[in-house]
Amino acid sequence: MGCPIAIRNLTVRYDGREVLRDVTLSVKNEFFVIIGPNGAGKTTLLKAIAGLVDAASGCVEIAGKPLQDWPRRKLAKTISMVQQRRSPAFAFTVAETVLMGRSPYLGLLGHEREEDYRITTKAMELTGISHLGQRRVDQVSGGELQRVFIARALCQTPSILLLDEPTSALDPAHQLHIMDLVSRLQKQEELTVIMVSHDLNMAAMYGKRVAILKDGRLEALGSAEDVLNGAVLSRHYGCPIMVEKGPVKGMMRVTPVPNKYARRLAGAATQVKVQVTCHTPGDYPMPDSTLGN
Amino acid sequence: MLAGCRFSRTRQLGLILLMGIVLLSSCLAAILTGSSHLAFSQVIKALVGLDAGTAASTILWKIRVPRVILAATAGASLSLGGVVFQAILRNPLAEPYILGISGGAASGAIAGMLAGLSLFPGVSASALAGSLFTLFLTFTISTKTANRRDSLLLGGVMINSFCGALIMFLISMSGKSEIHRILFWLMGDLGLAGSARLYLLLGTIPCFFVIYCLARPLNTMLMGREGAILLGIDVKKTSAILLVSASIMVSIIVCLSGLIGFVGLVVPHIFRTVLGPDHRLLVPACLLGGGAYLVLCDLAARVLPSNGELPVGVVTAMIGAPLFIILMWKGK
Repeated sequence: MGCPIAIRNLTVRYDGREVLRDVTLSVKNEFFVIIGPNGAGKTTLLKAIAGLVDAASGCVEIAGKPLQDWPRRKLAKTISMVQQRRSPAFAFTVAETVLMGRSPYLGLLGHEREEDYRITTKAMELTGISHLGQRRVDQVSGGELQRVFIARALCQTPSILLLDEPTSALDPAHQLHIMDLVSRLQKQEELTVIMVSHDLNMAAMYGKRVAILKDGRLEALGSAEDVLNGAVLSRHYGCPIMVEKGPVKGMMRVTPVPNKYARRLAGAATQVKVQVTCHTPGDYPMPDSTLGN
Repeated sequence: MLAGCRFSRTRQLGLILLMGIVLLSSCLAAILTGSSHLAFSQVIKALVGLDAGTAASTILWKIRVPRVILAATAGASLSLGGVVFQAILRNPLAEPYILGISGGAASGAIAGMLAGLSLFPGVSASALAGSLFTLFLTFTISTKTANRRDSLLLGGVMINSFCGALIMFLISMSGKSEIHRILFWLMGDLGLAGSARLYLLLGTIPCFFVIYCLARPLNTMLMGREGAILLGIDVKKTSAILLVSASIMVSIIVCLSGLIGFVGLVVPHIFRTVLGPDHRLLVPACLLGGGAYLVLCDLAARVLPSNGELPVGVVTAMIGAPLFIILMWKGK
């Protein structure tokens, strides 16, 4: 367990366009979060680790072995990935879909054994979808489908878990449920978890280390407290973002600030001791309509 | 066993056994029926070889049995072909005939026949070359255009029309006067093969086996290319093996029975509705059920007209084309 990932000078191109540029990163046995604006290359980085896209240069090593030397099936026992929402083409039931996570462990004709059923049942319990087993995957809600795919990823009993915006379709209760689950599994099973998220609060509260990816480059890397600071976030996202310490130790609150509050906030910031998000309000483009506020 | 998995291993085996019985009964019904009226006892005696040399025995072994074997194998191959294309393209409307694969095989076969090649390896090889070429063409068209689902089907229709025109062109250029036979062949006819050529059907058996062994990867492919890779499947290699196996099967069937459409659409659709999309059950069910379906369609083609018989392709198209339209409505 705790399979180390080493990425060295990784560059990935789609049709000649560089999507990842010279990314170097190692992650091992931790809850690692990648954030960054849309189109920054976050999903591509996850895909490169999972072997779904080829490197133009540089390399990805899993447990010290270059990715291309891993047999596909062995890799599927080591890495599982929850992709952004995708719609199933043919209607398996929820249970059948989750059970498919056992695929890399099955023989040629692919019949499951008791152990496979046991692991599947457990994964469905953990993600809270046991009651949905007999429903068809095209008839469950977006949030339920997301949990189905998380359960399937757990069924692969991986040592590396890649999550691409796992909570984007979930309500707050299920967001916390899934994040707590992943966080607990990460510690118990010593998993290496890499999560891509736009939810900066989740990144702040669950990520041990956080990286910011922008235009395919790794722009910041460090502990959640260091990277998730107002100035850094505001600069990279290009909008005012406020970071506050929560009432409880270790808790953080990250809020994108609408223009109508941004100026007043910059003035008030020093008094209420929140981290100042913007140096001057003029740093950000503001539409004329907000000027009157 | 897990709640929510539709069929346990035992129930799967039971269902497969049941389909086997259905197939055998349809074969028996087809053997018992024909233009010359043979009594049940005559047929049974001839089948077990008790009165060799009689007219009944000749009719049975030279005409009815070969025809039923061809119908069953053709139905099985075309249904499995449909299953494979539907899974790989993630499109329930994909089918060898609609995608133009059968048309390609037919063009190749006609070209081979007109060039005076023998059935094996000559005509079979040219049919396979034709089907692989159209397969390649269909895939290129569908991946290079924006709306994959529609372009795949439209591309198939165009390839089909082109192949039809090509076949007519080849025939009229050659000056051979077998137009009536060829027209029947184009509509799909199981009566033309003759027992002497049926050895070619042996070629489909390894294809059945390969596809059955790859039933689990076929399941994961329903999750899309990336989904399948993440579940440990070498998608490129597996798809190539599956597509080539399907093309070999279809080419053999086209060589022997011409263009029979829509079997690969109707049979997998029925079984997917009833049994669900798990290929470990769907593949054997379509193999046996597809066989039974075409045997029964052929029986209808022989029995329905007051004199003579219909090409079986007429029957399958009359069932299949409306279903295709219904599926397209539902899919939107």
